[in-house]
Amino acid sequence: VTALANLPELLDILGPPAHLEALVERQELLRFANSRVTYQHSEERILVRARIIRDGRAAWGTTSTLRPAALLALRQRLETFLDALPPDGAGYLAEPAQCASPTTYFESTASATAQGRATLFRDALAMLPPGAALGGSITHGVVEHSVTNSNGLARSEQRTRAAAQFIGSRGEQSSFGRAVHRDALALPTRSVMDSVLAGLTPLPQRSLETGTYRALLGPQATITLLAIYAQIALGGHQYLDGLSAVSGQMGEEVISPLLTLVDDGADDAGLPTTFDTEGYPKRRITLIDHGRLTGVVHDANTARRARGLPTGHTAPPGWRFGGDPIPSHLFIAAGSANDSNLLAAVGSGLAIQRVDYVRVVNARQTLVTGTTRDATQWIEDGRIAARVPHFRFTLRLTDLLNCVEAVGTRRERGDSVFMESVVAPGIVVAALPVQTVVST
Amino acid sequence: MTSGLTADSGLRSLAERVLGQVPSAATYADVRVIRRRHDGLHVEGKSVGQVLTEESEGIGLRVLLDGQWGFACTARLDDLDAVVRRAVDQARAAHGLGSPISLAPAPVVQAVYATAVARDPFSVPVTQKIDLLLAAADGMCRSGGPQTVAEASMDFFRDEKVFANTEGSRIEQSITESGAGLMATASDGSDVQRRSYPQGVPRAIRGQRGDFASAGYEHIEQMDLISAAPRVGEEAVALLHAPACPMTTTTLIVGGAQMAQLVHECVGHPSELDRALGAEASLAGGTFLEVAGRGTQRFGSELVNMTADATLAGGLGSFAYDDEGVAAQRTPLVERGVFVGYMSSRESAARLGVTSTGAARADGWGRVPLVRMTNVSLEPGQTDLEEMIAGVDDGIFMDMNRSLSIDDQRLSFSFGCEIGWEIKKGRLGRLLKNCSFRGITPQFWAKCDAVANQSSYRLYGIPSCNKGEPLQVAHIGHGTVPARFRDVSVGAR
Repeated sequence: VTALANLPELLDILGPPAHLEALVERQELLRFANSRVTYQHSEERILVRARIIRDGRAAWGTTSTLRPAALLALRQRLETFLDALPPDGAGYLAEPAQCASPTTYFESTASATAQGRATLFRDALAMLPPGAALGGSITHGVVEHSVTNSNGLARSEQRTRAAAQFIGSRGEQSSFGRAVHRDALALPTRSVMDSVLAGLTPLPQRSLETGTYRALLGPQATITLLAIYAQIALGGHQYLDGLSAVSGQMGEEVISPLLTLVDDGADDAGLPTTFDTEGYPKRRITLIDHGRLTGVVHDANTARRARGLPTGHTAPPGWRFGGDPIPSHLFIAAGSANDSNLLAAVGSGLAIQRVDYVRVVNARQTLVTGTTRDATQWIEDGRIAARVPHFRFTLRLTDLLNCVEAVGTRRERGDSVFMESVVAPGIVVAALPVQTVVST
Repeated sequence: MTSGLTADSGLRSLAERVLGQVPSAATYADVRVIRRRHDGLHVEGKSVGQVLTEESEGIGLRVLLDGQWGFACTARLDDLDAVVRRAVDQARAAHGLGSPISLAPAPVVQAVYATAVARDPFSVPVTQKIDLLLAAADGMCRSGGPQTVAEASMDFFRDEKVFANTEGSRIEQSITESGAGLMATASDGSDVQRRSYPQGVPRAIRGQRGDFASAGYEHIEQMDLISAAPRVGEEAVALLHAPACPMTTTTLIVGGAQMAQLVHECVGHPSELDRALGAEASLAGGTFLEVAGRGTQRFGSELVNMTADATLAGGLGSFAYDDEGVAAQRTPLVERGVFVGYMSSRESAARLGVTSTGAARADGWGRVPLVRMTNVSLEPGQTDLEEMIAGVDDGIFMDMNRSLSIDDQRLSFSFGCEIGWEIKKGRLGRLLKNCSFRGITPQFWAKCDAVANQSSYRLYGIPSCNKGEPLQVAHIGHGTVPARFRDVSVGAR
C-alpha cells in the first residue's frame, strides 16, 4: 500500500476539517473482434479527491498526483471557491467505524500479463466451431483505494478485478457470455465459452409477432433488468422524495414473493468492497424480502433524513450516474429451479440471453425500453427449438417482476456501468411484451 | 477576442522524451500529453449542491509493432521507461493474432491551435457564476411552486494537448469548452415530470448537464438562463396536469433540441467506420450502413442531408487536428437521402483504401483514439417552421430528449421527449406529457417530408457520448433544425 502512507501528510496540507481519498489504479485490457486483436490497453491512473470544509461550506477537487505541491495548489483553488459560497451545513465527515474484511485482492489478477491475456484469447479461439468468429475482451485490474479524514478515519483496501466477455457469431446467429471475479484464476472462462457455443447451435429460424409471451430471462438479462430496477427504485433519495415507484411502501409487497434482493459489499459471491467514497462501511441491506420492501440504501444526507445510518452508498462527486445513493453490490437470491426446470416452466415461449440498451422512460413508473441482443430463441415443449428475430420491449419493471413464476438455482456474477457487481439467476416471467420486431 | 492557453514547454518536452524511447523496431508511434481541467458548479433550489474542480495530467503512448497496437498510459510522469515498456510488451503479445494493421497516409503537420475564447471561463469569479445559478434556480422555483425541484449547473473544460508522432507531426492544441443548463422536476405524489433548458440529458448526469460549446464564458451569457427559468418551472408543473400523448400513428414534427439526439443515434453512430468494419460488434454494436452501400444505400427522403464537420465555429466537436494529427474537415454522410460516407480514423480508412476523415478522438490521455463523432448535423432545408406546422392537419410536435434506446445495428429506436404539443388544423394546441415515438431508422427518415430552413438552425453541444472499452465519454456537436415526418408511431410508452 503506497497511497495510504502519504495521506496523513497530504491531509495536513488541506488543513482541518478535510476529507481525502486516493485511488491508485492499474487496468489492462485485450480487446478483439472478428477473431483478431483490435487493441490493447495498459493504464496507470491516480485519482486524488479532496474536500475541504470551512464554516459550513464545502468544495471538492481532484488531481492526478500524490505530489504535495499539487495538493497545495488544489487547496488554494478550493479556498477561492469557498469564499464564493453561502454556508449550507455541508460540514459532515464520516466517523471511524468497523468494516467487514472479505478478500478483495488476488495476486493472480494483479500479476496477469499481456502474454497471459493473449493465451486466454488463443484458447477461446481454439474452442470455436468452423465458420464462427469471436469478439469481446479480457481485462485485469487492480486498485488501491484509501480514505482518510480529519475525524481520524483511515482505511485502505486493494481490490482486483478480472473480467472476460465473449461474443461468438456464426452466420446470422450470435451468442454472449460474461464473467467477472476478483480472482483471475477463478474466472470461469471455459464455462463462459461453453455457454457461448451452446447459443451458436444451429437452429431453424422462426418468425415472431408482436404480443405478449411467456419467457425465460437468462441470468445476464436478469442482471441488467434488476440492476436498473434497483437503481431507480431502491435508493434513499428517490424513496424519500417520492420519486421511486416504491416510495411510502416500506413493509408492503412490491414485487413477486419469489424474489429477494440484498445489497452486500462483504459477500464474496459478488465483487466485495468494504467502504464507500466517504469511508462509510458498506452495510448488508435486505432491500426486498420475498417481495416485501424492507430497505433502501443511504448516504449520509439521506440517512440523516431517514434517521438511520449511512449504508456505504455515497456517490462519488461528479459521478456520471448522478449524486444520489444507489445499490452497489446487488444479489438476487437463488430459487429452486434448475436450468431444465426453467425451460419446462416456460413450456412454449421465449428464451432471452441478453438485453441491450435498456433505458428508463419514466422512473416513477419503472417504465423502461430496450431490445434483445445475441441468442434470442423460441422454447417449445420445454426445449430450445428455434431462433427468433430480435425485438424491442417497453414495459414496467414492476409488472415484469410481479409476474415471476420461477427462479433459477444457478446464478451468474455480472456488473453494470453503475454497479460494482450484480449476482442473479435466470427467471421465468408470465408476460413479456414484444413491441416491435427488429430484424430477421 | 482572446485565445485559450497553448501548451507549455514541459508538455512538449515530455512528449519528445517518450517518443525518443520508442524502439526503432516500431513502424509507428504517437504520444499525447494532456493536461485537463474541469470546474463544475451545481445548485439545487436555494442551496449550492456540488462545487468541484478537477485536474489531471498524463501521457498516452500508442505503438505499432509487429503489425499490432500496444497502448499504455500513465499519470506517473517520473517513470517514462515503464510506459514505453508496457506499450511494447502489449504489441508483442498480440503478434500473430490478426492481420497486420496499416494506417492511411496523413500529412506531417507542425501546428498550434486554440479555441477562440472571448472571456476565459476559468477567470470569471466563482461568485458571479454561483449568483447566476441561484437566480435561475429561484426563477424556476417561483414559477414551479413548492413541489418543484430546481437544478442549475455550469461546467467548464480545458484540454491542453501536445501530439507528436514518429512521422514528424508536432501539434499543440488548447480546447476550451463551456456549458450550462437548467432542469425543473415537478411531482404531485403520483407523477413526476421534468423540463430542461437549453438541452436535456439522457440520465441524471450531474456536472455535465445542459448545452455546451467550444467557447468561453460568453456562451453562458448568451443562454440568458435567468430569463428562461420561469418558463422551465411553469412547464414542468403544467406537464403534471397535461393529458398523456395518445397511442396512435400520426404526423410528427421533431423540434431542434430533440433532433440533436435523433441525429446522434440514427446518423452519427451508424456512420462510424469502425462499427461498419465489425470492430465494435462485441460492445457498441454494428451499423445498418453498409460499406458496399456508399453512394447507393437509401437512408431517407431526398430532403435529408447530413454532414460531420469538425471545423464549425463553436462546435463542441470542433478542433484543428484530431488525436491522430489529421486535420479537421467537413465530411458528407448523407446527400439527398443517400448514404455517401463514414467518419474514420487512419486505421479504419486504410481498410477501405481511403484517407482518414479526421474523426479519431480520445477521452483524455488515458484512452486510445477511436472513431468518434465531431459535429454531426442535419443541414437546413427550405421550409419555414411556421409553414411546416401549418401543413399539419392533425399531429404532434415533440421536443427535448428524456430517454432513448436503439438496437445494436442502429435500426429500431424509441425516444421519449420531455414535452409535446398537439397540432390541430395547422396550429399548436394542448400540451402533452409522456411523449414518445419509435421507428426503424431508414423507414422513419424516408417519411421526412419537410426540413426547416436556416432561420431555425441551432448548434447544440452534448458532452456525454459513450463508447469504447474502457469507457470513453466524448464531447460532440449537432447542428439541427426541426423536421416533419409522416405516419409515425407515437404514444405514452
